[in-house]
Amino acid sequence: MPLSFDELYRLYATDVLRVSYYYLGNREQAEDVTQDVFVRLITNQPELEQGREKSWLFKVALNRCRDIWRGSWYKKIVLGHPAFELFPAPDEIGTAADKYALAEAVSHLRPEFKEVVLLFYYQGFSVTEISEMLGIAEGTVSSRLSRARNKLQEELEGDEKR
Amino acid sequence: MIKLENLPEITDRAFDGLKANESLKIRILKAAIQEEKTYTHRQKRHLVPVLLSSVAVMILCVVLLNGKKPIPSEEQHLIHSFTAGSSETAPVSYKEIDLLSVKSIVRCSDGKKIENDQLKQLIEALQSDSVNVSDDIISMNDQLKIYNTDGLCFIIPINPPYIGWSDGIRKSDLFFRLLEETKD
Repeated sequence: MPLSFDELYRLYATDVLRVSYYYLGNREQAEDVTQDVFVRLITNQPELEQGREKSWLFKVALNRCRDIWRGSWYKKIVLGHPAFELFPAPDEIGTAADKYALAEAVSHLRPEFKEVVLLFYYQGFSVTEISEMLGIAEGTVSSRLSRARNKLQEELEGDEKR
Repeated sequence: MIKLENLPEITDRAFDGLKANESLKIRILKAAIQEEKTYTHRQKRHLVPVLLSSVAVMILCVVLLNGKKPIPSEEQHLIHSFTAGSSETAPVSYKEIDLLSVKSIVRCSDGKKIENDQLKQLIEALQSDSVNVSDDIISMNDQLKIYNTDGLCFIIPINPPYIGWSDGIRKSDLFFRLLEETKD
């Protein structure tokens, strides 16, 4: 039996919001993307195979994020890296900044690397699933993951040296 | 060194305050309702050009069908009456034909042309030996061209023994008999 909107929202909305925020670095934009994704889910009522709902939601979300990112307006407003900020739980505020260095470093990756890292390491999709979602070859996914790891290592090591 | 495998844990901590809450859910539901309304409205709006095109097609069909529809004989009578002399001159009445100014008469169907002394008899037959049959409904199938010496040409629809003048259809057996007998 297909999952209802309520169930899908409860299970995946926060993840969609966070991945969108990782991508765009702007909370309002991330909420807009999440809204667009779930509005499309309600209005289009896609026939989703059981277990494929999450990939559909992320596929739509990433497409939307890419559209916003490519938009000239967004490029003009957000120069360089998005103004990434953390939203720790109240009791976590004030903990060591390096704890979040990785999250911040991921947010600084270029979109094509960021999306594979988020889908693979954060959301736990397989290389095959990511390849289907993004419409790219599995080899390309693997190579992007590898290059992303190198870039993250460089950035984190740079931070440590500083 | 923090490992990428720790990303979910780190992200969940880093973004603990970033959650899809009830207010976002309500916002989504409102937007979905609005979207549905807009979609329905858009669909209705799409119907307008479709309806307009249908109406335009219907009008075009009616116009085309009317164009091809055989003209009722009453209308034919009117048309031919007013066609008389109208092609190159103003519509002409049988009374207006001036024997002295007529140069030639040509029957269009066979190109038969009558000139000179034979004209007098024909014009007289047209004017004196013809009766008004405007109440009859006659379909015309030929034309007479009456050329004047001043260059004018009256085009008169005919269907022997009927002649369509601007002021009504007249019948003249004599005229057509003479026309047949006259050599061009």
